[in-house]
Amino acid sequence: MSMQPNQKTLNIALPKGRLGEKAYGLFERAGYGCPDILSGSRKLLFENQEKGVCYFWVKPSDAAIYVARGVADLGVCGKDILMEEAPDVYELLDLGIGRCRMDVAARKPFVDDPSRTLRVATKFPRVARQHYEAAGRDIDVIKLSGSIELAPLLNLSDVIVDIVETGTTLRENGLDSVETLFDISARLIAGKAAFQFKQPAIVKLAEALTAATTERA
Amino acid sequence: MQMFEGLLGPEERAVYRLRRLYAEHGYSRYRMNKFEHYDLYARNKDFLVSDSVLTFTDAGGRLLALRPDVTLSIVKAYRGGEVMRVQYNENVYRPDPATGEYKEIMQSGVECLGPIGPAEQGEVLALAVLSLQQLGGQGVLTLSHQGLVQGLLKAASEDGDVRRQLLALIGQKNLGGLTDLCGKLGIQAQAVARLRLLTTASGDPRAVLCSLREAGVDGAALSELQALCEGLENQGYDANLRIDFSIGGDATYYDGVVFKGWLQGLPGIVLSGGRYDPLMRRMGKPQGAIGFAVYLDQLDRLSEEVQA
Repeated sequence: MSMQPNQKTLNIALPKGRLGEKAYGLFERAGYGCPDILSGSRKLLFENQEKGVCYFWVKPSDAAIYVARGVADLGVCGKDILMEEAPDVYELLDLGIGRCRMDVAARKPFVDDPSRTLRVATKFPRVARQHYEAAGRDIDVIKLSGSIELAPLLNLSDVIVDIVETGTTLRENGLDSVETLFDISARLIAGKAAFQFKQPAIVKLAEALTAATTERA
Repeated sequence: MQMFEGLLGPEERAVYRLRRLYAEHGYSRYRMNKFEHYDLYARNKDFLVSDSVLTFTDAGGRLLALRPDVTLSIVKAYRGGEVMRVQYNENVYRPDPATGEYKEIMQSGVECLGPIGPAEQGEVLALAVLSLQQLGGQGVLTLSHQGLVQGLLKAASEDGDVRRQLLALIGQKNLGGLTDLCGKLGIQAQAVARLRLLTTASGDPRAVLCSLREAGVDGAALSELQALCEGLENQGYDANLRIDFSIGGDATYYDGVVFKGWLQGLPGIVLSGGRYDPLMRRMGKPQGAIGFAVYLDQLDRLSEEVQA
């Protein structure tokens, strides 16, 4: 197998981890399987020439970069990352997996004091800025890489803007959702240049995925 | 020229080939000042790919800028009268969208300003196809029509903010997001069906135009788009021609045909242009104008065998 992504096949960037495996399940059900991909090996590149697809595992937050830069024609990427990075790609399909939401959360009871700058801890500074700018609220963004829930507890921030799945982590830390910014799920993204050259193959795959997604729901 | 070809890099080779091509079609070279008054860009910020412009103050205290765009300077220089056909080859300075760092981008292009009609439009589009051929490799030219897209958007909503959101979703081919937003706003079913079609219709011009007519879309914009495609077809330039409405530009500046060019193997747009009468009007010129730019900075990424 060549390590250089092929010109004729569809190159697909899948996020490493649980979400990527779920996403691969959809591709498999859509008829684009690649038998040895789940073999547990450490290989990162898997090709099925007969089906015309080549998958590679990438860090979830990087999938959109591979697609925007043209080395992957298609990719699977969370809406949270699409909103934060605003990559120059097409967003073809909601795959309906990895569902969660982007919420503002705070210690209860939370009362916003508009006379002070609101301190916001988040992994998503752009999303947070856009939201509060639209509301005309002056904020101080504190960019963290993890354990966001800790920030309000230590009085590092007033609120957090973060992904909420079930709300269990929030509750266990005495936090509560204040508002929801948008719903998140995994999306099928396509490169804009790739679409110009491989449209028939991309559309065919997207349609098969739509059917596989609906079946599942 | 022949004896130097081997010495030239891909970018330089393209510059000379394009210069010859445009000269053969009657486009004279237009040489401009390295610097431009910052005012020009401040007034037309939305026309630029990015808001950020490199500025400095000259000896007289005036704020100058390193040119982020060439078209605005040429429009400024146009004095009316006959059709003006110019070609240029200039560096422009823009921040990289990912890193925010400024980059120097070599750009060639043509502009055709004045009392222009279908003949001049066809000529510029044909030059766009020929430009892609000169760059080597397999090229694709994708067309859209700003008048057509804006017409359908206006039929869907009178709110400019809503139209901008809808246009952004069409630009992302985000059919799910578009359908959700239309549902939330209670947009009428026929308008929704047409916007969905704008989002998904893509590819062979005949097929796309046909699907639009079947959906009951008609009018001057559609006829113009069809005539342009047929004109290119008649000249034998239809092989890699597509229609796709996701490429639409800003309505403040473009109102007619808009187009983008791609080369196989390059992730970014290599050619971008359109009919920009609204920009002319904003700058106090009642005539029409159409043109395009070729971005040469990606060419060294094309593999050697393709360039030969």
